[in-house]
Amino acid sequence: MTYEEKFDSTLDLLRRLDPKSITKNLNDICTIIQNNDSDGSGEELVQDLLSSVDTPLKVGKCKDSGKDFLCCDYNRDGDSYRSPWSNKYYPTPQSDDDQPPPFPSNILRELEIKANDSFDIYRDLYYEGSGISSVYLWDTADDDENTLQDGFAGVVLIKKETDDGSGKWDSIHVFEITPETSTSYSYKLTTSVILDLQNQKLSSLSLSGSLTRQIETTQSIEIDGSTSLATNHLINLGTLVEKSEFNVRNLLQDVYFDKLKDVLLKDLRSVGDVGEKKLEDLRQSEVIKGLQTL
Amino acid sequence: MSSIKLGQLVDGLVSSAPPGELKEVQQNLSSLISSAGVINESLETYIQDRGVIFSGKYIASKYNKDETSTKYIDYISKKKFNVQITSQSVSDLESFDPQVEYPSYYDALVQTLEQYGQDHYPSRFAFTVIPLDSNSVQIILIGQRLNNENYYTGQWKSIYKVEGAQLSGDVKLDIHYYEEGNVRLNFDEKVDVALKGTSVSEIINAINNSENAITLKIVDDFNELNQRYFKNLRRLLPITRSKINWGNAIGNYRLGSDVVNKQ
Repeated sequence: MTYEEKFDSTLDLLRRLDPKSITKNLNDICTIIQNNDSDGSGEELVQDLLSSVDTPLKVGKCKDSGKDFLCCDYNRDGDSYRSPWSNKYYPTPQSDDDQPPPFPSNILRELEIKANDSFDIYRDLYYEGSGISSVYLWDTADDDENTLQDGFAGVVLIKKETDDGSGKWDSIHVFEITPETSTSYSYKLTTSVILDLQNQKLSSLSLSGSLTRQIETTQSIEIDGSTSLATNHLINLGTLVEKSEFNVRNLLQDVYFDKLKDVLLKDLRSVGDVGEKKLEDLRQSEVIKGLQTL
Repeated sequence: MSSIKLGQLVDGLVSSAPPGELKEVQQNLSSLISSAGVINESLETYIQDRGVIFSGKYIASKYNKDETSTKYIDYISKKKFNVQITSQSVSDLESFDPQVEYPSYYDALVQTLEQYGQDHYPSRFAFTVIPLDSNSVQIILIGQRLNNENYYTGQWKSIYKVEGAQLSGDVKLDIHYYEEGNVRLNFDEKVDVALKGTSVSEIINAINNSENAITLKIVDDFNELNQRYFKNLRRLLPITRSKINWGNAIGNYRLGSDVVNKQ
């Protein structure tokens, strides 16, 4: 079996098993791979899985700023995670001169600070003032000079939980910006949202999982006195993330509340003659509720 | 790693598999684990715990496991069979004479359940009735849809015990949707009804009423989760009702944010 086949079948397995236990399942699969490593490719496979499978985001505490930040594979170095607020790793990594932990270049770090500020406002407006956001950027060009001209990559993370824990949302937007011509850039964005809904006090009904969509666009950039290349990138990126998250939110609404309900009523159990009236009444009241919220 | 530890990890993974996708889970696991024995043992545990359909109409579960062989018992046709996960079919069918007393209503109950399934389970329907003694039975009803072309599978499963004039058990719903994602619905509700008598129509009515009530409850719960928890988890648009004005002026939102939040 080739490496790709192993990788693909592991992803397929994780796409089938209960998404509610995705973190545990991923860890257990990694343990199995590490202990059944017949051809020596196990460690590489584990690293590839950890960077390709989205799991609910962990929250880290930035001691310097006193603020919380989000952790994922993109701000990780060993067991430490870099805070976007202080640019420091927590817990402090073991010093290793051969392999120092990665940091964005100075110019990119400057943009990272602005991006964190902007997406913090975005989070405030869309997530009703609660939740946590973090943005991490990294250099993609070999050349250290003129980083922004050569493009870069990054991730925008947002996490929110309702106070009673009944609703949990994790947004993961991974993007890459590459130059196409001297005045236009390509933006590739992959958006995944992990959504978990259950109110255990009311019902055992649990809806959980994640949906992923990609979006790609080319934008021309006009630099004038007041708008730098960095600001241009931030405007385009913000607009694109906002659009993509809007799309995925609508998709979640469709899948979680329409598709799953349809499968129940049309494919699995029909209420039949007696209940059709009741169901019709329910539908009616839903339509009215829908109209009232417009 | 010891085979016991490996077995526990594989059990854990298999236990969250969707009911209709055991074959795919088996295939995927076998690309990571060389020991087919470990995988098959976990799948066997899953089958006995949950109850799984084979050959479209037979159910294998702990309730109808033959204690003296690898086989399962179909008490309706009085046969024993083995199960094949890769082909999702039964094999080695043989006649069997169960040493248990069947209640007098058994045959009528089987016939009526067959009709009930046709009326209320629009896709694949399988059921079995296991006689426990002259006065009680175990009933398993499974409605299942495997629509892999459209990336979803789903199962409704009711397991009831009728003991004298008491119907008890539970209903489980498990739906998996996986087009560019992985979404799972789980629902589990206990049923406990005192019957007015032990006639077949009394049993079927109690089952039908409970299952209708559960279906309507799930629809209500969907609406509750949607309206109360999903809707404002992430708003469709900010309170300003327009998309964000990105760029240098974005800080202006912050200046006004106290006003916005207090509205």
